[in-house]
Amino acid sequence: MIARPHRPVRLGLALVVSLALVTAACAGSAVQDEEPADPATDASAAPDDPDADAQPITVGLVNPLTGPFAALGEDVNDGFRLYLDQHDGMLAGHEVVVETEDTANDVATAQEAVTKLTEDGVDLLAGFVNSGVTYGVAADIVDSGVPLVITTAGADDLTQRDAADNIFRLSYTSSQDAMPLGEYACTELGHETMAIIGLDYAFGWEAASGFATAYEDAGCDVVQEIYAALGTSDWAPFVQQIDDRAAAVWAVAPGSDGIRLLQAYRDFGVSQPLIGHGSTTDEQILSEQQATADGVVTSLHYSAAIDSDDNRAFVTAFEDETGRSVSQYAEHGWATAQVLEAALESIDGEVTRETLVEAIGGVEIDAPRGPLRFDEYGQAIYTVYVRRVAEVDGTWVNEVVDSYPDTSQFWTYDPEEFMAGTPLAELHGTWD
Amino acid sequence: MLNGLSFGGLLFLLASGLTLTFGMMRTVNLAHGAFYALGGYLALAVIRASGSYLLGLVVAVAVVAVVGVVLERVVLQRVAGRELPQIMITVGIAYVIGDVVLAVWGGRPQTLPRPPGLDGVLNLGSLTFPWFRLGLLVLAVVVYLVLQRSLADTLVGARIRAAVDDDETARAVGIDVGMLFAVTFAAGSGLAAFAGVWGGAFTGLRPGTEWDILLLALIVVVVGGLGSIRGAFVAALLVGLLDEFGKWLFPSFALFTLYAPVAVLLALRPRGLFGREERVA
Repeated sequence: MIARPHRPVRLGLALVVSLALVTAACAGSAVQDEEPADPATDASAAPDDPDADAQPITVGLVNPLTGPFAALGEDVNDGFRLYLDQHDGMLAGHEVVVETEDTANDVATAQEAVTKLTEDGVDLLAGFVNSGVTYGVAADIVDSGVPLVITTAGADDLTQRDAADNIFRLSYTSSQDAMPLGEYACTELGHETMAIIGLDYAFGWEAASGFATAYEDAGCDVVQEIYAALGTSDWAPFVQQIDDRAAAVWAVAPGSDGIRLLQAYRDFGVSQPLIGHGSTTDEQILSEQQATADGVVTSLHYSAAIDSDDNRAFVTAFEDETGRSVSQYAEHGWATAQVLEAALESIDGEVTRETLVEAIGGVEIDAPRGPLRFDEYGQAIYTVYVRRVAEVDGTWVNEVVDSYPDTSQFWTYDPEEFMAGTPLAELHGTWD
Repeated sequence: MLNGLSFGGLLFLLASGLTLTFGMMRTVNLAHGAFYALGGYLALAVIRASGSYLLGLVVAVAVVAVVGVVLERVVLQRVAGRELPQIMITVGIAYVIGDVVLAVWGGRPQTLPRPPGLDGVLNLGSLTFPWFRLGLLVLAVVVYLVLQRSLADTLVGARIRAAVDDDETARAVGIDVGMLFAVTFAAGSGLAAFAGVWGGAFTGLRPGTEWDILLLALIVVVVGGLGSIRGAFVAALLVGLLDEFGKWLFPSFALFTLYAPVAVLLALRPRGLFGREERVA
């Protein structure tokens, strides 16, 4: 017994330490993951081409490759590399070299990655999934003058109140893809009252308030708002609270929350039709949701089922190469390469950070999603699709049922007035 | 109400393995959540390859139990009784398992199928309740009774209790303490994998699952009181109900209503609901 003299004290200490550690790790897994970064996997996609007459271009891909958003970052990177590979590593006559860094979904790691890449002299940065991480590095990137193409992070203000000349985004702002469905749900679907159910953080709030703004301006009424924490294990208590006054339910729950929300929604037989933000039935999770997503109507700037030659070529190439279904994220990577190619084509003379920033601002491309260009704030203008989940030949897909071409981040509103108003994130909870 | 109880049933399953390794053996195993995730993913792979749910379940439990024993024999027994090294080592192992899982199965969220026969919904007039959730609750009760009985009424159980209480005397009367601890650790790890197969059909699997699950399991074990199976069972149902009512009453503060009462309880009663008074040697 002499061997263990202070057991209760030490055990208590151990308990406190372990709880603290786990709490930190858990909080991290939701917002800022604490996982140490994997050693960066530097990949030179292009072989040396002695005949290249133009200067080589270096692209830094900065995405989470570990942590909860690893699947998103991987799709973006693979989409970009695939486009490059199909052009033998050459875009507009320039050899393109890729450097890859892992943000590990963590601000400090992302800052190191950005510093390393800018010191290496990259001509273009592309990536970022987590808006918090993006805000953490935005100032450094603005100072460096290196053009950044954001490929996933949605926080509205990155291309609104905090817009910068060298920051572009070809993925959505949180509210951009939600607003068209606000009008569609009221005028086309005829749902006059709506309950909102979504995730309780900036993306969920901005998307929900974007939807609610357009929906109420079209003359319909939001009667209930329910927000649940990111990573909610059991959605049953939330779906059971849905108000009978609501004619339909609009949901925003990307990732594994989307799977659990739909499972609970069907398990408890909620009677109202379900609609939502497109990320709720994203192709990354649709193969898991399957029949629970049947008939759900959502809006997004992409669907794997878009019926065009550009999209079919992309889908076939990606699925053959990776063995995974395409997703909006893979399309973002592919479209980033297209944007770079178009920008390089338009530059007459030396490619510098300044000329590249200016050239990107002026590009117009035909991406798999359709036509894409940037507004004066650096945010992409594109078609937003209304999709309905259906089973086609044994596979669950987001069938396109309608579209809103040339949708801007301000929808039909005046940009100045839109940004002068209360930020959408702060309006959550005020609609019911 | 039933929801809260069924979620509590899941919580008990998550925590049952940890009550053995941490509660009984006093080995701080923060890789518990990683064992859960590993079990879930292994089962998923086997079920997809073979189409057999039962085979997936058995393989997952067996493989993870072996992993657990190897961990205990090779690493943890060297730091027996020293909690801080145990914490650092098992956290490290959890990260390794987490990254291996990410490398093998990718980062997209995945869901295990529900067990055959539990897919439908029970309809009783106005009450609809999924069979799967009812099954979880029943399963939790069964696991509880088996654990409780085997610790209280069997010779192995008596030996484990003896070894935990006073391993020197236990060794002196001829009990192979090392062997017993290996068996207990195998059972604890296997239970983590078992919970992973069931929980994977409830909450899904994704990168980070290992930490979410570990936090819930630690709460249940600590609230219930170290070393008490009964405590863990009561605590799991209590936490499940708390979570349910919290989500009804204050939906935007669901995490607060879950953790705040736990913090208060531990402040007032640090050894948990059914924890034994620690003897000072």
